[in-house]
Amino acid sequence: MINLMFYFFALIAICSALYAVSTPLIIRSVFAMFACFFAIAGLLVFAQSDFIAVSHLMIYVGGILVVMVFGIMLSQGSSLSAVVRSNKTISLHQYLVLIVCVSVFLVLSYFFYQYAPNTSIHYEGSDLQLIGIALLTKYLFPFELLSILLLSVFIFTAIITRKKKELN
Amino acid sequence: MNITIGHFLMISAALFAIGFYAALRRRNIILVLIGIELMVNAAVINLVAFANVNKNGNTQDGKLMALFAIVLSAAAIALALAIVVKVYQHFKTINPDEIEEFKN
Repeated sequence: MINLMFYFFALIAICSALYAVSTPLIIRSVFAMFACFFAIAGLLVFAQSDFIAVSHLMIYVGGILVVMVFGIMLSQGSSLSAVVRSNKTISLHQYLVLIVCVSVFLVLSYFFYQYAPNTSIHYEGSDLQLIGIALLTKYLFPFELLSILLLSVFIFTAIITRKKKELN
Repeated sequence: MNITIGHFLMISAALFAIGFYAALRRRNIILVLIGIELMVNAAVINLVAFANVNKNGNTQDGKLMALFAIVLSAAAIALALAIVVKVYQHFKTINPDEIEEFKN
């Protein structure tokens, strides 16, 4: 039963990712990424890390995808549906890209199949306490550095997207 | 059949290849960003899966690296989308093939 749910999440993640990169409408690909990120969070729960799964959901679904929807709204003008231009000059490029990506997948899966450690994963309770202790002892400095970096990134983002009139 | 680390690695390989395809095809800048996000997610799945290998030390290193990677990619995407909005205001398009000159 548990294995069945794992394969279900994996199927949703890969299929929605494929749909997201292949659909011509950009807004549909963003909404397919919602499903993909939910499924990836489910997979992270299967890998014994609840806290990472919850923060993944909050950051990706609650943050990044909403920001992406705003970016599409601000960059597509009045119509949310991006016009697909079928340039014949790009088709060779697309075939090359497809071949490269399939070969990347084959090489990666070959190495993972050959050299992956055969450790089976069982769920053994929440990891929240251990992560909290590690964040405030061993990883205190990277944690604080990351928070300062995030603050400065958000300030600079606000400065960049400001109207030009205020800059003068 | 138990779920092993190899299963997670296979899924992450597939997600990485899909993200690589989206990033290389560059039809739209936002689609390129989605591809980069998929590749970051593949790396996060790998880190979390390999965090389960060392049972003796009971370390949380892999999970914390995954957390830091998620936060860094969030920062990168926020900055990239700000740049996308400015590029649209300047060039009136976000197709990377049509943006040819960054002068002026």
